[in-house]
Amino acid sequence: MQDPQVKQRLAELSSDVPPLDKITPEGLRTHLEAEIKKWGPVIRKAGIYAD
Amino acid sequence: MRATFKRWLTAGLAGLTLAAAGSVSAQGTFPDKPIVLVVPFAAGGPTDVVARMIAIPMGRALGQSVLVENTVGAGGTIASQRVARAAPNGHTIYIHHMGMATATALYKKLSFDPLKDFEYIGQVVDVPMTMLARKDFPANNLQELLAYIKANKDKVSLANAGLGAVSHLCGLLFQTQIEVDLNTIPYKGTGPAMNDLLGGQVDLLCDQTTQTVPMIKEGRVKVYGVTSLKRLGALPNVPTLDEQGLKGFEVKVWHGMYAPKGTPQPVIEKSTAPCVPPCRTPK
Repeated sequence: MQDPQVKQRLAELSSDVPPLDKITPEGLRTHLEAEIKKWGPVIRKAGIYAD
Repeated sequence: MRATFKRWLTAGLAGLTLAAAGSVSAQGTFPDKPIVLVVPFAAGGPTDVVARMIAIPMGRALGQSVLVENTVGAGGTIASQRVARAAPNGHTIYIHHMGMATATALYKKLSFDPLKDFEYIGQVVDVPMTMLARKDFPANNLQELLAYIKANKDKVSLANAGLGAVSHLCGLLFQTQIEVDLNTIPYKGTGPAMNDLLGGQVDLLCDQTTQTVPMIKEGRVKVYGVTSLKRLGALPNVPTLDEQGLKGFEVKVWHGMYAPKGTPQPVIEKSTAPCVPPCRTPK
């Protein structure tokens, strides 16, 4: 992920490489939990449901 | 695992530009049939583009085809359910974005648990977003936008690509942070929402840079800021919303790769990280 060409290609796509510690099973799991905690209150406060 | 996955991802992404990854014979008996990479959204959309970026070098590295399967519907939850119930044999891999997290709040009844029913492989690509307005909208920067919204909030419309779409989530976070409820207009997908922004029928839209950077560069929309905490290489002159005063405002469309719960770790490793030196980036 640190290869300059990879970084450049992603930059052209306006995308980013995730931090190295997130390109791991535990990194994904931790981020998923954090995102559930971040968005849950925002969505519930708006009172929207998709089902 | 960690090192091998990174190595595979490096090689995979490099394969995009270099198309040089050599084929490697499968180790042992796995994979003995094609691997299905499940994508929860339609072909041609942003998530599908990311998936197909990954599928080609992944298949090349494995010496087996990787079939992208678009299992569409219910904001990605149909695909998540399909993967949660798939045989945990390593032949089913899943890529999903932040919708994996937001489904737990958006749906009262989910037939799967994002925190219990999957094996986690890793995050792959982050796509930031941009806050846009129609070209002739009066406000020229974020401060003017906030002042305009304060004075005209009943008149300002905010588009999104549908309930639970990332544009909807970005808009929700924006409204939460500025403590204003705007007139939200849902569309069926990013395409129609962007079309109406370009046509001037709707005022504001927050959408992924993969969709918006060309419009910004061509001057077809106004841009107030990016939703990352750092400026983007592709848009060096566009400030972040955070640096303009919306402290901590950050929305990244992050993508994760998963497999059904119970998929043996060595199989996960083989299915995603078999890349040995021949397919590392040539120097």
